[in-house]
Amino acid sequence: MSGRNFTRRDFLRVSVVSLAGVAAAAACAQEPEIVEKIVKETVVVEKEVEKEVTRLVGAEPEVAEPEVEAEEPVVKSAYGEAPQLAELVAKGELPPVEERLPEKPLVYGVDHPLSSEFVTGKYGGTMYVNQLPFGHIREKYMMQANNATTDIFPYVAESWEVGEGYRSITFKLRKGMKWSDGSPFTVDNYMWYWENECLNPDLLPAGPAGYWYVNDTLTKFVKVDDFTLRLEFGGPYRPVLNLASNWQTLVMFIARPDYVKKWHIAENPDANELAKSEGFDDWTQAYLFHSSNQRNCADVNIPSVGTVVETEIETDHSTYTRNPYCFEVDAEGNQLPYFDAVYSYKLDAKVAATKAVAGEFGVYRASPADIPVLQQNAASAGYRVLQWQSADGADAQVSFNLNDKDPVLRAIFQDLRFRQAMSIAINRQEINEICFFGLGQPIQSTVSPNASFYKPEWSTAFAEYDPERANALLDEMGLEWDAAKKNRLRPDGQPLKVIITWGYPAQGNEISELLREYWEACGVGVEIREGGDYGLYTTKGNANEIQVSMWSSDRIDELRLYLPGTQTKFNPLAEMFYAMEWERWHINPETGEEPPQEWKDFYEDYDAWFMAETEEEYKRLAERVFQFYSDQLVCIGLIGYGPVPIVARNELKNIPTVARIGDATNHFGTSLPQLWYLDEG
Amino acid sequence: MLGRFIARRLLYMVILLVAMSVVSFIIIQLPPGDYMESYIARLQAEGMQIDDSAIAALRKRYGLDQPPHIQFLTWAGRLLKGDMGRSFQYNRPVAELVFERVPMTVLVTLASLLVTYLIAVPIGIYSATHQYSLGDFVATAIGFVGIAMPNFLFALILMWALYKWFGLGIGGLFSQGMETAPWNWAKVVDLVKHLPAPLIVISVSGAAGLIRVLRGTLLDELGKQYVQSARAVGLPESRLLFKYPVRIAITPLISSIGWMLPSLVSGSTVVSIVLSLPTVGPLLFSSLTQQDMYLAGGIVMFLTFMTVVGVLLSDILLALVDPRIRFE
Repeated sequence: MSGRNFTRRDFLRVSVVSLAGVAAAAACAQEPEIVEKIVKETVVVEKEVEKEVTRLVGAEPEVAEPEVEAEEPVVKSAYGEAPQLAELVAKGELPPVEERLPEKPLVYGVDHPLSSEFVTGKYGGTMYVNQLPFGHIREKYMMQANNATTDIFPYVAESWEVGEGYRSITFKLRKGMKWSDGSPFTVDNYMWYWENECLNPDLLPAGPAGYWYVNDTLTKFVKVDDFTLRLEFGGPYRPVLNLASNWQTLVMFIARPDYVKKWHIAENPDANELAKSEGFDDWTQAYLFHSSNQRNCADVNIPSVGTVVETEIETDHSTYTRNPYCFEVDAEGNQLPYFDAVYSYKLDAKVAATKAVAGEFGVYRASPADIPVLQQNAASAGYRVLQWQSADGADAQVSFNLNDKDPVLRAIFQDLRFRQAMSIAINRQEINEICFFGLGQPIQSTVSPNASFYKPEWSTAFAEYDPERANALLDEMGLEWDAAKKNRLRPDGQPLKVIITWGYPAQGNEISELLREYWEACGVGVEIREGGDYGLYTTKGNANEIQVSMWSSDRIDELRLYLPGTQTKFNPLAEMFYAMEWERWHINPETGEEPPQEWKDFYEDYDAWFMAETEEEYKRLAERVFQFYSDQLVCIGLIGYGPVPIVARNELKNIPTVARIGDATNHFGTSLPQLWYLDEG
Repeated sequence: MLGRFIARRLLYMVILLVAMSVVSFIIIQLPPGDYMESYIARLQAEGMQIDDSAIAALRKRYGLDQPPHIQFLTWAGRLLKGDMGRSFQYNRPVAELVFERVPMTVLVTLASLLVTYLIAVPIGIYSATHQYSLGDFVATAIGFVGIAMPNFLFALILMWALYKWFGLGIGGLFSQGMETAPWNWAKVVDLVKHLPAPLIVISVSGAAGLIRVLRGTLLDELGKQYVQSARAVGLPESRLLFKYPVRIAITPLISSIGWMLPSLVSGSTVVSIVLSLPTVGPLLFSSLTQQDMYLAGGIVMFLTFMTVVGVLLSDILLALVDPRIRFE
């Protein structure tokens, strides 16, 4: 926590001190930890002052009296800003950078440790991307995890404190922080959202979302002062730290700028007329439009606290520009981001892949299948291919639908022996060689090994290749072969045939073809269907129309798993459609179908886990939940932790050479794109 | 005569449009789920959590909790007042979304139509007048390749070739950095440089089909007695050809105008997606996959309207060009 006390004043001091050449003397009479940090900073800053001076001289050659101006540059050197913004400041259209930043900005390298790879960047350039892969840089949350998701650091919140027994949490906001329109960012913005959106019966007729209730008691939002917000829960709420530091909480800890107020009936009695004049039916529609922080679907003028803000939202692209009030600075005090703008295409996947090969994106997450063609064209098109690692436990996994519409298939799928047989019938090593260039790991589907309750055997259970045993298991089930010994027969005499609908990964078709080979060798016929785009695939799945689903096993990091009410692969309502009807029953016993007793016990453990009060309870229940998941083979993992080729333009610097990428790492988010820069020579 | 014909057709048009609005609404509603479902799926894809109460609120706000026939009546009622509704996924008026893409769509389609005719008409006439010559065989072979090759595949190959040898960017109608630039001479030049790829792709398959049609009808005509008698009285070959048989053989081109109007708007959807052209086609496609029913319905109704108008226009034109056709 020491680094979090590093203030603007400290910056000034460090700069001055280092100019004087008395490096370590700054370590006044503070805690030893701080001394260490400041010393480290000073070393960096020494370098920076030289650069700063040359830049200032270069920018203003007419400054001829160094004696008089000496004071000025030193003060200015505390914070750097983009030349475009400096111009606006000079014209008087924008307050100086010191006034735009909060008293204690988020300092990367101090508040948020960086690897030694990061260097101070240069301002300028436009980042070209497809579908804004680092969308979070315009949407902020309370805290931010590191790429390994093992630690959390300050973000919008300068610091936080968890109350006794996880019964409350207090966030300290940054004094002087501003929205992108320059208006102050305070606790009132959170309170507005809570009181006028969550508790407004017109906007949310059924009241706030379920995760705001602990022990059936609604969470209390308390404004301690302008910069201190306290949430009080109805009981122990252990997941709150995960909730506050996950990018998934974009629907939870929301602050609304004053800008939205004029569309709300509580602030503007004429809100309905205003809405009608804008073509909406009533104020709720207009309010939703103007307050939405959803990409593609929002008022482009809504102020934000993001690193970048929207300038255009079109049907085929969006553009973003830097937020002049961004609260993040690099270790030398330069306000982020470095790049001037982001141009985000909305392209079809195949076109995007072709564009990437031609080097038209600043950064692009490619499919492993494209590695050869990417490598071939890298030199001529001017990019490099970084090899990152997937953060997904299984880049591909399959599930048999235990609630399938066909009662005969359902009975077969529900037989554990069948799922075991199908799992060991798979030659994972071969899939790895053919579809992942041998760079992934043959693996069973389970939680991430960095989870505190992880057991290695979960990753290996029924993951070996043993077609003989698979056939023996199927024989034991009484699934007879047909006369030609080509296909096994179902109990009703029909040939046993399953349909794989793959939605992800990009090599889904090749993987399905291999699965067909392995399963047909055991007498189980296979038909392959492409799931189509995300919406189509999940709509089919939600309608219970998928027999065998294929997707990745993401959201398996402890940080990401432990969020009540969110969809993970362990309580499926998204992507792996293995027990839709049971899950519906779990959510609301009046819907769906009643599951068998062992599943009821599982759901009980799962729900109790989120309410665990003690560390032992937490661990004990977690082990039970994931043991069941492993025993039941609901998701059959194939290959995990595979390579993810990242196409990066040669000019793009500060992008990590190696990093994890996936849902858990907020995709590019924890690789800190706000610190990337384009070195155009 | 013509007046009564047009009046009758206009009446049919109204009935047809009403019927079409019902049919298209039913088809759009056919797939399981609604927009909220795919919207929630997308939020979940981004890892967000959406609570049931929020979903119910959104459904209600968008009127998706109403039975389909009520939804239809609301939509149709607004349509009559000229309000095409709001797109769910873009949260903007449908009319605005469609019409901002219309100019570029019309440009691409008209230009490719012109190229189609420029390729098809001379080759078709040449093929027919030089039947079974080497040139005819070459034209026929190319024609069959043009018909047989999937458009999108051709588009991908051509796109890559243009990138590899001419350094043109992949997809789109503008180079990087030009998309957001204000209109000026450089931007026009840039657009012209990017137009050939879509024009060639869209024209080739159309032209290939047209060559076959033109060749066939012209061959029929050339065998007729009036051609022989014209020849016998000593009419010069070129004058004979263009004055009579070609004029008749060209009628299929005119009747295709009816289909041309809607395609002016929807373009060639698949090609447009592959080449990422800012035309209406991709918009229709995404509205259908996202179950953005007002946007999809709006575009479909607009296309229907254009088809109906186009057919009427082509019927009138045909009658004017070919006096043998009667308004019956």
